[in-house]
Amino acid sequence: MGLLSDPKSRERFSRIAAKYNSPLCVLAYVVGVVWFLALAYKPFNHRTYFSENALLPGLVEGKFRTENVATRISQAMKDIKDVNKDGPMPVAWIVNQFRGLGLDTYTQEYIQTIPVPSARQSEEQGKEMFVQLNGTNVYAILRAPRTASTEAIVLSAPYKHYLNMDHNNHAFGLMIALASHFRKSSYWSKDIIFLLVDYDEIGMEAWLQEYHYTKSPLLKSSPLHGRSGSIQAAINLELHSDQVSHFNVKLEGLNGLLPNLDLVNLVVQLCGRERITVKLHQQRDPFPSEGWPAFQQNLKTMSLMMLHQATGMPNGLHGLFLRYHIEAVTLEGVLEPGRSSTGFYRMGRVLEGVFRSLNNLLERFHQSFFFYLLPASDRYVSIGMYMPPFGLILLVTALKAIALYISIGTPDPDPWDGAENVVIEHIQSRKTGDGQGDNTDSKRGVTKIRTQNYSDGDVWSLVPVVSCCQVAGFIASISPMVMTGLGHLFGTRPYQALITGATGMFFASLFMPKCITRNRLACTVNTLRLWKCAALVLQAIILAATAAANFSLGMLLAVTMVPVCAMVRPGKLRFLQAVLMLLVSPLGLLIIYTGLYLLLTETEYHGVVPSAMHLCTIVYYNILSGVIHGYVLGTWQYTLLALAVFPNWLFFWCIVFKKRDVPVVENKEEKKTS
Amino acid sequence: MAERGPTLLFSVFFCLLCYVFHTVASTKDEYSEELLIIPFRSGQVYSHFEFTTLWDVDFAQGGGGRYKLQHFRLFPRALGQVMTEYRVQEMHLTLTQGMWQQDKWGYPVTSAAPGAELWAWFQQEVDDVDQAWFGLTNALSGLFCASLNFIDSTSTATPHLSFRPQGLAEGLFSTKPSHLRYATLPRENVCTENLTPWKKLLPCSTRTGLAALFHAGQLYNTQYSSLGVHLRPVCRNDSCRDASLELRQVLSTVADPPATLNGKQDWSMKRYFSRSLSGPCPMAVTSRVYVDVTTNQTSSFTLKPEPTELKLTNYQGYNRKLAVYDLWSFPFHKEHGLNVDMKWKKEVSYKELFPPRLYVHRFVTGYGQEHGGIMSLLYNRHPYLEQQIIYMELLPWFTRMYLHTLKVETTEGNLVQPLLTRYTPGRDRQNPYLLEIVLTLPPDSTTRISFSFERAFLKWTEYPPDANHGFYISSAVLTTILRQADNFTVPPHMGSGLQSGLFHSSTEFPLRLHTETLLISLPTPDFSMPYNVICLTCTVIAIAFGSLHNLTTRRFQYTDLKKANSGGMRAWLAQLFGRGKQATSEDKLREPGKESEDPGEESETSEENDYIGEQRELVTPRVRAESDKKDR
Repeated sequence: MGLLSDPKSRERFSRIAAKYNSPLCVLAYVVGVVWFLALAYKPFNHRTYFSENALLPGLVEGKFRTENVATRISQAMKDIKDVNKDGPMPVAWIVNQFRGLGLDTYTQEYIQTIPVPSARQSEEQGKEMFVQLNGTNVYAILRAPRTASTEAIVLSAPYKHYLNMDHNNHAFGLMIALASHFRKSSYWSKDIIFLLVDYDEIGMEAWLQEYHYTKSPLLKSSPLHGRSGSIQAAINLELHSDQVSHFNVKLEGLNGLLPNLDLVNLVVQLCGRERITVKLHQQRDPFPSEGWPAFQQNLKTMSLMMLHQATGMPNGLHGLFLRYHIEAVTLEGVLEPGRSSTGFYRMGRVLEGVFRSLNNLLERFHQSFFFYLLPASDRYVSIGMYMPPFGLILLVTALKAIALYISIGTPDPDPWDGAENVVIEHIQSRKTGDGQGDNTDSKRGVTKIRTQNYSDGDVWSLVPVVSCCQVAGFIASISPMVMTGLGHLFGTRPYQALITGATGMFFASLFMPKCITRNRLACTVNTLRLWKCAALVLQAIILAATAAANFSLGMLLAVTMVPVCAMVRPGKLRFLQAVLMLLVSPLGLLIIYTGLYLLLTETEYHGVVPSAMHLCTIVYYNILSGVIHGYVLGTWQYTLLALAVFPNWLFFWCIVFKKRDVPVVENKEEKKTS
Repeated sequence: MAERGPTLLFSVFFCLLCYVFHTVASTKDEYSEELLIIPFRSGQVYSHFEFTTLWDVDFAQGGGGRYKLQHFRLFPRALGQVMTEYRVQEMHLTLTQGMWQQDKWGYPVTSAAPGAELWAWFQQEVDDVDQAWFGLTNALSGLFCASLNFIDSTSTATPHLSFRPQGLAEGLFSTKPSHLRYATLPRENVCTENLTPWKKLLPCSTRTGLAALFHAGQLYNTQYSSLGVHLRPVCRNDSCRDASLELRQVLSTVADPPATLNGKQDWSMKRYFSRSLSGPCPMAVTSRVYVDVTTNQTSSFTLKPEPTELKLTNYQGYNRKLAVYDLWSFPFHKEHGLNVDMKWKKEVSYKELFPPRLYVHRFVTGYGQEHGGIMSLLYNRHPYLEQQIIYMELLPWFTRMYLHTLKVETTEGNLVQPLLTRYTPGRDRQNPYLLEIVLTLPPDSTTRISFSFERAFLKWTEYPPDANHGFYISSAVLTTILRQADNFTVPPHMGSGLQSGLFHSSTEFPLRLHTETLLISLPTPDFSMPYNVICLTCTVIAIAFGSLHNLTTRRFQYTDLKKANSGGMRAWLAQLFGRGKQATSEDKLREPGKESEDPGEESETSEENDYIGEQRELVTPRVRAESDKKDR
């Protein structure tokens, strides 16, 4: 503390911070990024391990032998589906399957209102404004003997309504097979809930909301008449066929929540035990686990995970459990042609092992990690590892802000040196161009500056610009809904109206600097320094807070926004700056990262124009789902971007286009007089 | 004289004999043992043992409801002495593993909360009820090897409505509401160590009679098992001029044969108790096994061996057919022991549940670790009868209940006005929260009772070793009187033993239902290395706070060197006479930040002097600029 409280060394510190500011910033940023990327390299991350001893994975011998039940049931379900093609879920049949095993079987009906006007109905009658989705969840509880139903584990599977695709009948078959096997054992210490969900996420959300009785106004559902206790963990099952070549383990949940690493580890270990390959984001673990290709592969897996996590949208039904502090993962069974595959027997044994391990749990998952990144299925980067590089990147913002703050009120070493001439010229040209009225204005400005020049920047000038930015953000956050309402009046397609609402405010606010420059806000160098300093501090706070909640989002924002925002300054090279700023705007970032995601996942390249079209479509759907999920599932990504990141960005955008007026002139005059 | 000697001796002996006979006759006791087996439609098989000891104790001798138990014959001495010592009038203890599933199985003979549940009425003369209660819990804890000694004031309550005396409560036995104590331990695990002392209380122990079936390994491999001890004073005869002391020892289990037996419900004593009966307990007046064969008409099963008697009962149009094995008349010499064996022809066909007329379902609402809620759904499925009920909720102190959030409404949204609400607020680390509501359930409705609570922070020593497992909230209790006897496995009756309930009709059926126990998680610190790191970091930050605060709030201003020097002297003096001295106006001028100087500032005296001495150099650039201007 001596460094800070001793004014002498404080001055020294500030001098260093001011003098070597730019090199320090560059150094911090480069080291931060390189350090972060290096974390994907094997020697820099760690091997996963079991922190929770009670799990005892694979300690018991698997006894699962009812794989033919799985085959039979999945075939029967397929037959039913073939008969009534577009029909609803065969609830009665499913209920009978569960009840036939002697399980307590219940159904839950729900109606979800999606706050998007339905195109069809509004055209027809204009009565039903919103899309309504109704479905029926079926769940069965296997009551554990000698327990008071205080704890439960969930095995869930979605019933998919896609027309031509598979609808997860294999998962249901396996679920029934497991239920009939589990029913015979008396060692269960936790109830097991088998849940078949109608319509992916919405059905799951309906069930979870009703189970915990947390009601949302858009969702109406019939009460659950049977419950078990507090749910400890959940496994969600999606099988694309009865033979799978690998399990794709999905982790990323709502708002970037991740399941406890112990659970992920458990699944990975038990799959390994049954010799089923595990992939993360369809990426295989590199075989020679060291070397350059392995690093590339690990980096790819980690980037994909980060890109997924940053969206804040769950990539499986498990994601919705996480909000309720229920650890959950999705196992997606995929058949890759040309690879060796395994059938229900091994899959059943994996799940049996997982459930018996979960059954051993004495406490909730609390050990191990909740914040981590996985470069491979058996390697992890913990929060302690990835936070320092992120801190270094944020240090750039902090250093810049400190340098600016120190420079306020000093005429010497101007961090925006070189700009003076331009500005003077500019002012002079404006004087000549505009005529006399301006002349008096600028004179008044000069006299004003005489008192203001070396004092603090005008703090009050921050108020209008910050509030303008915030208002713009607020409008952006509510505009999708407003626009859909308006679009309904004008007969626009609802999704287009939604998109217009989401992006319209963004494009509209690009013109905000124009409005701000017009008025007579004082705009000395110091004021501008103060502005940028405030913007940087705000940015640092927003990014740090975002990273605490959803690290990937914070990191991806920081990596791109920090250098550009640290560099921008009013005046010079305005066009280049504008282009850079547009690139790191929320919309620009969305396009960049969607492009990166496509680059990492798509194998075929179709040429520039089709790829660009494809990219645009994906971006379009990303915005759409971001907005809609915000209303239906409660993701806060769109709100965060609209209410925090976008206003902050707009603030920088205004600074870029802010005209710096008189102070330099004043400076010169002083020099002349002295 | 020589002849009269023996006569006298004889007469003395005779007198003595008479006296002994009198004493024995005055403390007459009898013992009966019964077993009821009911195959449920849902595939499970319920077996309920009931051992009743009736003792005609002379209550008047002790005065009031007091009794002094002496000369034990069939009544267990270990228990009797405890009851005498703590002047217990009525005592009910149940130790249960598992939960009775009302919606599948109807109502049990005696309802029990999961874990341990104990409630006792003390005699009117007891002055310090709490002391007697803690004495009783400790004694019972030792007697039954249960953790009843963990019952303390934080888990004990005195409900006024839900737990009325079940035996006599008038005349000699009248007592005050304050003499009731009720406590539960929802986390109690029940197993053989509780069964062994429990069965030792039986007159024949497990050597013969029905108790011979108790094989711990089998009893605890079931869906549900509960054992209980119930003590109460009852009427000796119909006139009720005298009273007897009744001790009921009950044990219930629910086995689930279809889970293990290819879907069939087959049940036999040999398979589920691993032995067969060899004869009645010689002490027992009645020794019977009842098997409910009512369902035999719909899903046929064969019952072997032939029952000694078939009885038909009829309650309000609800027929029941019972096969009775009287162990006293069963030909044990012919058969090779009695092994009741039920065999079904077909597998169990599971149908939709047919829940009873009145049942409860309770659960935790909300998520997160700050607030939470509890909701109970009370189902009254009777098509046209209202049902008045008493609902009792006992919450531990660390779930701070908000009474203002209490909401009673039907699922249609109609408010149900409670007839009476009794609420005893809890106090941290002292009392639990107790809520009793009397309300009328509308016919054919589901009523929601809900309220919120706040999760308290515990002290770090108060967490159990497995802190992240969660904390249990004991069952809520629903008490009522039903008009109809269907759904009861045995309709309750004031008389003793199962047969009074099975064969004597009544018009009112008192019912007590226990809901699910709940598991909630409290905010739990991470009891590990990171936790220590956090503590350490917080300490460091707390220490550094002073300097940081100082740094961010102090403002430097220009000062004259001369004045500063003299000020240095003054400051030095001020330092000598304590820092608390108020600065003079000049001081203020010199350094306004000085007043706000943080006491946490670590600078020593010498530093302080240096600091003031250096005032000239301290002037910040901003100030220097101003001075430049002046110079100009």
